[in-house]
Amino acid sequence: MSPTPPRFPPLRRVLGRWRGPGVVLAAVGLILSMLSTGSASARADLRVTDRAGATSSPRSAQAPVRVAEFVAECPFTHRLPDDPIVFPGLPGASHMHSFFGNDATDAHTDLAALKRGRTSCSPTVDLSSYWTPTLYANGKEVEPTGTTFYYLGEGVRDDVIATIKPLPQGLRIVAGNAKATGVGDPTSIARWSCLHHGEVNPSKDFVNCPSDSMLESYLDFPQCWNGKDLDSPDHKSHMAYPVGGQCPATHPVAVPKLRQVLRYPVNGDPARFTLASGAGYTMHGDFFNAWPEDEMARRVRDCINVIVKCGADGHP
Amino acid sequence: MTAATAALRAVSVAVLAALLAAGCGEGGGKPSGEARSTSSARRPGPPAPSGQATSGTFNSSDIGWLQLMIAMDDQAVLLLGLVPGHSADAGVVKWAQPVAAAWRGERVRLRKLLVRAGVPDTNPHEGHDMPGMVTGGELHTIKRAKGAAFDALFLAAMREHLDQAARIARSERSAGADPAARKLAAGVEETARTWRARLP
Repeated sequence: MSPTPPRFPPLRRVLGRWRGPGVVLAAVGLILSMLSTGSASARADLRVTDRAGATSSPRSAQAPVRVAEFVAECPFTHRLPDDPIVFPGLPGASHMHSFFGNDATDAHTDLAALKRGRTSCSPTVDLSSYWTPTLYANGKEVEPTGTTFYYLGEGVRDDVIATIKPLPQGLRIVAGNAKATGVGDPTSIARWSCLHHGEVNPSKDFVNCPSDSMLESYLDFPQCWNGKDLDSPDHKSHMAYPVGGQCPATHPVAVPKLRQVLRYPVNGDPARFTLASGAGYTMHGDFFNAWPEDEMARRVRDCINVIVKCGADGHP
Repeated sequence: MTAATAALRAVSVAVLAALLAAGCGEGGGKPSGEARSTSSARRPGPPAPSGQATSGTFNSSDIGWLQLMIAMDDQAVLLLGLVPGHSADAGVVKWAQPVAAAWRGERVRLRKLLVRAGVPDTNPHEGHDMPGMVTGGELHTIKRAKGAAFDALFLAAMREHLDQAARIARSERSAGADPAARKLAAGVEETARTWRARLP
């Protein structure tokens, strides 16, 4: 299925990564599940509207898997009260952030600094930086042990997916609303759920997960770019979400949708949990793109535009 | 494998070149970092390094600093307002009076700059545990304290606020771009250090 080097046994990787959907498909054979669901990211229950108009079912048992996707797995690297997008050059100004991927990220980080840094990501070519507000359980920091960053075509029509362009180097994207006011706040796009326990309804706020489960956070980044700015004064207005399966005229350039999936080794009473930014519905994510242009372009061409599921190596 | 990789690379480069030629971004895939706000169009600011957003003469450091200081001062002013009814220390009462007046003035100057930057005056840090900021929860606790207990909590919160204000203002003096914002930062740093030194 994949030309992944033997040092990463494909079966174990797939099993490790897809324990969640594996339960959904408990009745389906192992091979079938590897071929067909591969993708937590493409789970139809996550964002039904995203695939409106799409012709293929992500759960189809036909190979190759018709999901426009490549991934980076980027474990936790460090914590700092810094934010190079919102508070560039102002160390210590931010609430606490947990950083993933590039290990050099701090308040002074720019694209050149990222290019000089090292990464926790697989693939190691991804020098991007990803960060979120730190999660606390009873006031103690908890770092996610599952840290997958999906790059997806879904969210726009298949004919638009075919036109998706690479994310430009140096692009900053902030997803979610750190000042959301409650679970009824439509500006919150936070989604908390329980690993292996789909029966627990997802919520914009923390959920109570069974003792054999983990707390999961899903966050989808906007995938329409204005084609000009790598950032904007409010750090949001250069990007937009698609409307009706396509990008709006103000943000005409469709780019891969980043989906951040974090799994925290905690469960139980959600009253114990807080984010550095407040309640669960304030969950947000920051992305500073430092993929090499050729590596990003290859993945967009080979995985996204043609709607093929790729792994961290960017191959089907 | 090596040959295949090399071939793949060659194809990737060709595809990238084609994408760029097809209009993916401007200027060879390195688009201008200049923000598209109206103030930016009217009065282009200094070139921002590697795509950092600007709004007129303000860069992201200026905007982040202004928003943070306003949020911190809003909370600190609420705390200062508690002093007359809660403190048992004449020294604290005497210290707080001019500070409250000074910070109200500081907030006005910060907000004027934010308006000039063309950024809406909303508090993006509301409800957050920002370093040095008196949080809503802390304010709630302090409100219920009286006398010496209040004074101890109040002074600890003020020390944190003043230390953080001085620290961030110092960074803003070098990281910021707008001359008026940097000048205000110098003033904030100086007064924060002065008030800190005079804390009872």
